[in-house]
Amino acid sequence: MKRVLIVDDSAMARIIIRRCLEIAGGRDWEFVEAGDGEAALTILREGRVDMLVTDLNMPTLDGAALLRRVRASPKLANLSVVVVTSDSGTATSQRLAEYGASAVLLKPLSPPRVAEALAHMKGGRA
Amino acid sequence: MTTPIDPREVTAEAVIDALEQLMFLAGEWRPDAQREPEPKTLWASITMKGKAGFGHFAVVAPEPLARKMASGVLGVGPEAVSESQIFDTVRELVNTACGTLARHLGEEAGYSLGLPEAGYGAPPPKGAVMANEVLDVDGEQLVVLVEAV
Repeated sequence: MKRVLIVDDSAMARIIIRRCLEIAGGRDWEFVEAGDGEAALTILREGRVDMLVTDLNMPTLDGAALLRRVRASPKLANLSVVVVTSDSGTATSQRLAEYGASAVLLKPLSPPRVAEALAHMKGGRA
Repeated sequence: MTTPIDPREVTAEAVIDALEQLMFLAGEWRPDAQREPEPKTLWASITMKGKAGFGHFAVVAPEPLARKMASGVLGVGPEAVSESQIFDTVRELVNTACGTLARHLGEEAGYSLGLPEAGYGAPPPKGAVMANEVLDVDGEQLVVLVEAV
């Protein structure tokens, strides 16, 4: 069973992300959640995670910093990382691509858009 | 030839889109509506930083409407929704709607967003009002404010 970690400081946003993932093909996936990047890193270090879906703007450790920490870790470097954001700026997209995001999803999320992004991912880095 | 963008309409449409996508609620822009006093409201706002300067995007909702929005996301009855879930919902609404608005304003505007804030009552004034729109959502008024600093 695929194990997916959803990271967002908003519990409501985590629900929305999870629902979209479930409808987009992940009905039998196992979901775990974290409220910020530091909590996510703890979960990533402690157990198996197949895909990380993280918000960009978060207090404590944001999605970009989390992505960089993941890519810098030998154990996690090849993990699929999807970044969710409201920020559609090219500079943000370029920065996330440079950091190694597998996909970037713009809010508002919808199951078809999530499904399309998942279909175009190449396992780890995009 | 492109059609000129009406900033008031684009602002309203950004929120209507977010309401539909996130909360499964239909909203309708009422450009000529007067704001009606509400006994208990909640607000959420987010900062937009772009090449043209700073702005603030906010929504103000009657508590029953905000509760209904959270209920729509959670898929539970309005009475089962907690206060923190209601605030979480209005913060997510401004975050999503403001992102949509920034996309409408164009890449060249270079807007990035801050972290959303929320509270009871009305948001503290931040600057010159650029849009002050009323949406009808299930018979209740949702107010959308855009201020430039």
